[in-house]
Amino acid sequence: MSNVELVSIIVFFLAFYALVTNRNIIRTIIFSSLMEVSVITFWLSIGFRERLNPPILYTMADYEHIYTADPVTQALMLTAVVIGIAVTAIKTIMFITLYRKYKTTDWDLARIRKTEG
Amino acid sequence: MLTLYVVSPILLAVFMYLFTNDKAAKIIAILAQLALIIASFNLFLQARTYTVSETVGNYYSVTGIRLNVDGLSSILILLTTLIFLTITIYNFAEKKSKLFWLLMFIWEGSLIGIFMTGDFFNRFVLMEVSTIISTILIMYNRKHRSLYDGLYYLIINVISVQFYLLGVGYLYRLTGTLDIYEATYRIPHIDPSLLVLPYALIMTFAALKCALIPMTTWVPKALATAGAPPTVLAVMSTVQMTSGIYLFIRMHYVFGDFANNAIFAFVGASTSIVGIFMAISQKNIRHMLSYLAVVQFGLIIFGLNTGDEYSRIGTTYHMINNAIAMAALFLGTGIIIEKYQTKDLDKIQGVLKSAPITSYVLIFAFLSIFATPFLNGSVSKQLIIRDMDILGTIIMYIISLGSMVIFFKFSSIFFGKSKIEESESETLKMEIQEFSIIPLGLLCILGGIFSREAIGIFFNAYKSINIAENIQHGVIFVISIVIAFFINKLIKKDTPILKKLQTYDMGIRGIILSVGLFFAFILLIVGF
Repeated sequence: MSNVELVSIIVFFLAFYALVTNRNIIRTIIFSSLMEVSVITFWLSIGFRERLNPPILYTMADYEHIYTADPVTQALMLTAVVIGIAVTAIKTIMFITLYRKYKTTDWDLARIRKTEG
Repeated sequence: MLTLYVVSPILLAVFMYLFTNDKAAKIIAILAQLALIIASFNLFLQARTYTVSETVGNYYSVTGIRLNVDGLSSILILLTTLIFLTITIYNFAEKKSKLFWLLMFIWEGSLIGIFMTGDFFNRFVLMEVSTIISTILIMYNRKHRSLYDGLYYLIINVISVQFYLLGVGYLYRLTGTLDIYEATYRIPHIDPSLLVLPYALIMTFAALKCALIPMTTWVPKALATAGAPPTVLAVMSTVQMTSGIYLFIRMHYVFGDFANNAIFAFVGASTSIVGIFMAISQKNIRHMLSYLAVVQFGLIIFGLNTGDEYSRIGTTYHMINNAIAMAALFLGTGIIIEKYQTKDLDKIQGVLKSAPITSYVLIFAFLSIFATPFLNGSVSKQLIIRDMDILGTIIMYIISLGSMVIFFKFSSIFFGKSKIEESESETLKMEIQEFSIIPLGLLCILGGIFSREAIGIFFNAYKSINIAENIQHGVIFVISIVIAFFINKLIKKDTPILKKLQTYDMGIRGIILSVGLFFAFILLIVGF
C-alpha cells in the first residue's frame, strides 16, 4: 500500500470521527465533503505508481513505449467530483432553509424545535 | 436496446415538463407506462432462458459499462414499472406541479438503471441520483415539509455511500475491473485476508440501504416525514428500498464463498423483532407502517441468508409480495389521511363505512403480510420455512405473530363511528385513487391462488405447497391469531416503555456512530 493510499484512508476515518463528535450542521456538511475528498484521493492513488506519465498520448506511436497512469480512475473521479458538488450544493441549500425556520445550527436544537412545532 | 429502458422514462419526464396540457400529458404518461410494462414483460420472458446483456457504446465487454438483465433483475424491473403505473393513475385527478412529474420519472429511469447495470461505479452514480431525487420528493409539500428529516436522510445516505465507493476502489485495486461479473471470476483467486476491508465497507452501505439494525432510524425519517405525498412513499418503501436488497444480493454473489451469511441472518432476525416493538408503540399511522416495512426487510434479509434453494425462491417471491402489499398500504392510508386530515390512529374511526374499498384493500394487504392461508404472503413464507431448521421456523412464526399484533392495533381505525362529512368536489379524485389500488389488492389474492403458476413463471421452477404443510400452517396461523388478539388486548396504551419507544430518536450523530460500529462489527467478525 502506497503512502497516499494510507493517508487517504486515515483522513477518511478522521473525518468520520469528526462527524460523530460534532453537533454543528455546517461542520457536518464540511466533514462529509472531506470524506468525499479522501475517497477521491484514494482512487487517484490506485492508478498511479512512481515514474509513470500522465495518461495523454499525442500519437499512436506513444502507445508502444510510454507507460502511463491508469486513466480509468481519473475519469471516474471526475464524475465523483461533479456528484459531490451537486450533493454539497443541495445540503447547503437545505441547511439555509432550515436555519431560516429554526434559527439554529445545532442538530439537537433543530430536532427539539421541530418536535415542538 | 437495454439502454432504452433507462432512457425512455427520462424522455417521458422531459416531455411531461414541457407539455402544456395537464390532462393530455397524464393520459400519455399512463399509455407510456403501459407500453413500458409490456416491454419489460417481454424482457422478462427473454431473461427466463438466458441473460440479456449489452455494452453501452459497443466497447469490448469489460472495458465499457455492461448492462445485464437476468431473472432476478427482470422481475424487479417489471415490479418497478407496475408500481409507477399505479401511482400515475393514483395521481390522475390530483394537481401536481410539473417538477413533480419530471423528478418522478427520472427516478423511475435511475431505479431501472440500478437493477440493470453490471458496473460498480455506474451503480454508485445511479444510487446517488435516486437518493437526491427522493430527498427532494419527500419534501415536496411546502406547507408541511420537514427540512430536518430531509437533511438527516440525505446526509446519512451520502456518508454511507462513501463507504461503498472506498470499498469499490479497494476492490478495483485488487481485481483491476469494475465489471461485477468479471470481478466474480477474479475474486476467488485473491488472498482472502485482503478481501476483509472491501467486504466490510461495501456491506456496511448495503446494510444501511436495507435498514438493518442499528441503522434503522432513517426509515421513519424518510417514510413518515410530514410533507411527503403518499405516491412518493409508495415508491420509497417498495422499489427504492428493494434496490438496497438487490445491492445486498449482488454483492454477496460477487464475494462468493467469502461472504458471511450467519451474521446477516442474525442481524436480519433482530431487525425484524426490534421493528415489531417499535411499530406496536407508535400512534402515527405512517410511523407504524414505516416500522412494518423495517420488519419486512429484516425478514427478507433473514430468509436470504438461511436455508437453501427453497428459501431463496421463497424470499424472492416474498420481495414481490411485500412490495405490492407495502404500495397498497401507503397509497391506501394516503387516501384515509387526506379524508380525515389527521395521522393519529386514535382519531381515525369508522373507515370501513366511509371508505369501504380502501379498507378491503388495506385488510388484504395486511393479511398478505402476516401470511394468511390462500394469500401470496403465506406461499412465500412457507417456501422460506421449508428447509429451515427449527430455530429459523420459530423466528419466522414469531415475526408473523408480531405482524398480527401490529394489524390488530391498526384495525382500530376500521370500526367505530366516522365523524367526517363527505364533500362533493373530492369524490371523483377519491374514486380514481381507490380504483388505482384495487389491482394491488387483487394481486395479493391472485398471487396466492395461482401461486404454483406464478412461481413457475417467475423462477422456472414448479414448487408448490402440499396439503400437509397447508394444514400445519393453517393450525399455527389460527393459534397465533388468537394469541395476537389477546396480546393486543393486554397492551396498555400509555405504559412508560411504550412512550419511550414512541419518542425514541437516535439523532444524526447516533446513526453515524452506528454506521461506524456496524462496520467495525463486520470487520472484526470477518477478519478473525
